[in-house]
Amino acid sequence: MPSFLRPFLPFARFVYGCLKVILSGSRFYWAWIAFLCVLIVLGGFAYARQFQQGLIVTNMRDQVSWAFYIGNFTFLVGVAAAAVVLVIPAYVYHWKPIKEIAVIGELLAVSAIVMCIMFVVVDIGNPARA
Amino acid sequence: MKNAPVNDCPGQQANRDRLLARRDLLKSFVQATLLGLAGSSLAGCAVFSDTFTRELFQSHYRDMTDSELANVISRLEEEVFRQYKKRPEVRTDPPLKGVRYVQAIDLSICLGCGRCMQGCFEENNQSRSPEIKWIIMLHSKHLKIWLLHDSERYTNPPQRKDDGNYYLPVGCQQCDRPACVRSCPVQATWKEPDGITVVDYNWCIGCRYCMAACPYEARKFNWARPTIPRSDLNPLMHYLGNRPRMYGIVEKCTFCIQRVRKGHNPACVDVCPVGARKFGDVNDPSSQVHFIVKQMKTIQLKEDVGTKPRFYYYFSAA
Repeated sequence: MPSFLRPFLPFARFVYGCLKVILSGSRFYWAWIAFLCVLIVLGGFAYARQFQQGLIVTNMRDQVSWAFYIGNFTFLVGVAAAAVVLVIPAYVYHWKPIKEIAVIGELLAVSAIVMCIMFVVVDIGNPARA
Repeated sequence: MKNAPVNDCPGQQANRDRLLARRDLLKSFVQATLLGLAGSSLAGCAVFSDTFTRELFQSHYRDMTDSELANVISRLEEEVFRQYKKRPEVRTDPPLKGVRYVQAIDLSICLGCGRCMQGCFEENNQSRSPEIKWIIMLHSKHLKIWLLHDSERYTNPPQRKDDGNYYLPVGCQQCDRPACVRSCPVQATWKEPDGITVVDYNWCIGCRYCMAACPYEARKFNWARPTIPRSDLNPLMHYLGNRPRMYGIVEKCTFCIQRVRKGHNPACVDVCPVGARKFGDVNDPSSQVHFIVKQMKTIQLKEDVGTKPRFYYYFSAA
């Protein structure tokens, strides 16, 4: 193995481990994943349409829906922060029962952060410049 | 692990190894991210058209050198010509020395005819559909100037009745402490030395924070691609003023920067049939607005929010 690839080895092992966990599950699990993928593709199409025609397709000119995107962003930031804070009772105060939830909390935090970034990107009128 | 003695050497060694492994992992992650970013940006450069990339990598208006600015201006003129088949003149006149612009409206003679709205609309190459108008007109029996959001909007001048209503045209107040400028995360909007708050349309990212911050609803967002009929395009433009905008950015009244920097009045002032709008340099003691600001009783909209507007309303007669 070339030496410059060595630092990537732990990361590759990490990715491999993740993939092994992700790619194993029951039939119900796969159905759920397929459903989520359909949602993601629909969202992608909707965003393509918004990118072409401008934010007018969201109808956010109305007072009620004005901050729909960015409101979701702040909500998800709160979710992520709360999920991360689960670490404190688990690893600072060594409270056993919450350790199992802490891992789920981290996963939730990561996915919430990803959604946050996407909400900011779709909210601004010129994502290419930002 | 919790009960292990403090100077247990093998344990410490294992700990250090674990830390090092974590650091390696972090390092590799950062490297992978950087590589990915570089690769995607290179691919992006190759895919997108030349104009697009030139527009994307254009620097801030105030940071541009003269030659860069000349390049940008020629590119903009070319774009306008390609789209509208009309040869425009995009100017970059700097502010005049020692000038502070102020506008005043005499509410006792304002008819509510709405010609200022229309004149502004035509002068500043506003989007016809969806319609964007920088001036809004409120009307009511009693002057409810603190209720901007709840006031009745007045949009159909031909049906106006002389029923003793007040007519209150509201545009950008060109505040001395502008909330919009402070709220902009990328400094795409700023105050010029002559008091005009301007937007660099090519720097704005369209986050609409300034719209939420502005107490006067003076800022408008291009929700869709603006449409202007070819015959209606005003070819006399300013970079910070009435050049055609793109979608997804915020725009606002600039006191017709393309006119006032050449010594003319804004379009709304020139078009007013009864002369209710006064415009001028407040630093010039012989000007009309100097007299109005210094000598007359004036009203400012929402003074209590502390934006220090430079737009005065007054009554010359009861």
